[in-house]
Amino acid sequence: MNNVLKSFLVVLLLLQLVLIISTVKRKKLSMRYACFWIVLIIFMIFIALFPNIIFKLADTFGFEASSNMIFLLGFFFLFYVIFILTTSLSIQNAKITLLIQEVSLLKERVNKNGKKD
Amino acid sequence: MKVLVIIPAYNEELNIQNTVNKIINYNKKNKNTIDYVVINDGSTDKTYDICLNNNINVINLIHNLGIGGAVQTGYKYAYENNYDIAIQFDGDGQHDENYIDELIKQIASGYNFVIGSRFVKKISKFQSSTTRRLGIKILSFLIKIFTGKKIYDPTSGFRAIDKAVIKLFSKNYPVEYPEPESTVNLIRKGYKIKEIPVEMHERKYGTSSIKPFKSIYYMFSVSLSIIITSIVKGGKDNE
Repeated sequence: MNNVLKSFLVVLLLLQLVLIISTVKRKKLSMRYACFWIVLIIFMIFIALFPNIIFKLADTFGFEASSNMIFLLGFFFLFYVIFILTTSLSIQNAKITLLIQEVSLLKERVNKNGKKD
Repeated sequence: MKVLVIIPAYNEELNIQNTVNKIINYNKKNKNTIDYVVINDGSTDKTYDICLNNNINVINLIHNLGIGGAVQTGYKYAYENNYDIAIQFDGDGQHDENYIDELIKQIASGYNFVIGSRFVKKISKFQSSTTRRLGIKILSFLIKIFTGKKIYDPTSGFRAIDKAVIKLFSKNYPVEYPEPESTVNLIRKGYKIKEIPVEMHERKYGTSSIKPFKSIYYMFSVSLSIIITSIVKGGKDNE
């Protein structure tokens, strides 16, 4: 991997990092999730600087090309991330349902008491 | 015994008054009086206005939740107000108030959960479409396999529950596929369940919320939920 490509990748990843941090600053991403992305970016910068690790690993595990290993890992990783997203979406749904029910019941009770007075 | 009839209504401006009148007629005919509450599930038509103008006891959900979430709101109301029996009675006019007595009787005789069914004895002229009946047969068959209990109409929305189940449902009610899933859940937990024959009518106005192109996915999803509910022991039930 030549140095032009290396530095291009690192710059791209650093831009990502800036984007993530500014999103946290604007309070559109909670620190809990930001941490996860930041660790991932640092890991990727590390790989971009020392790609030999990947080449060696791919060779040991018998991949024909190291890119195949990257794609496989990337696929599993994304699958996992999306799975987590659907679970948290379900939890959010349950919470919203509960909120709508309780607020509606409360509103009803307040309205009825208002009529009695 | 304090009895509450829960009437979930989504865009039922043409049917809701008739449905409530059924309960009022029931009270006129019988000595015991039963209460009712309409759960307006975020209707976009005049359902809520009609309820307000006619002094109908109504809880207005601030956003549409779907039938499961609406009915559970009714169970919460029943639990908070200390009702002994809660009966689900659909707002579209399909259910017949003359069978409410029988539901109450069965609960009073010790059953926890009583389903008003079209298919136990075929006294109901209205049996719904062939495809829907096939779907119900498949679900019924699945429930028989996985729980050992024959439920002829697991999708029936005409059902009565006792105090113990009100408490359970107010905390924990499957909002996505409420009827079949809650039925399986109750069987698994060992509650006493009975199905009684009832008559059902075709809805008078408006269209049913069940859309044909969604029904294959529905069948698949409900079947899975029946299987999972019946085989997975424990789980987070909060009791």
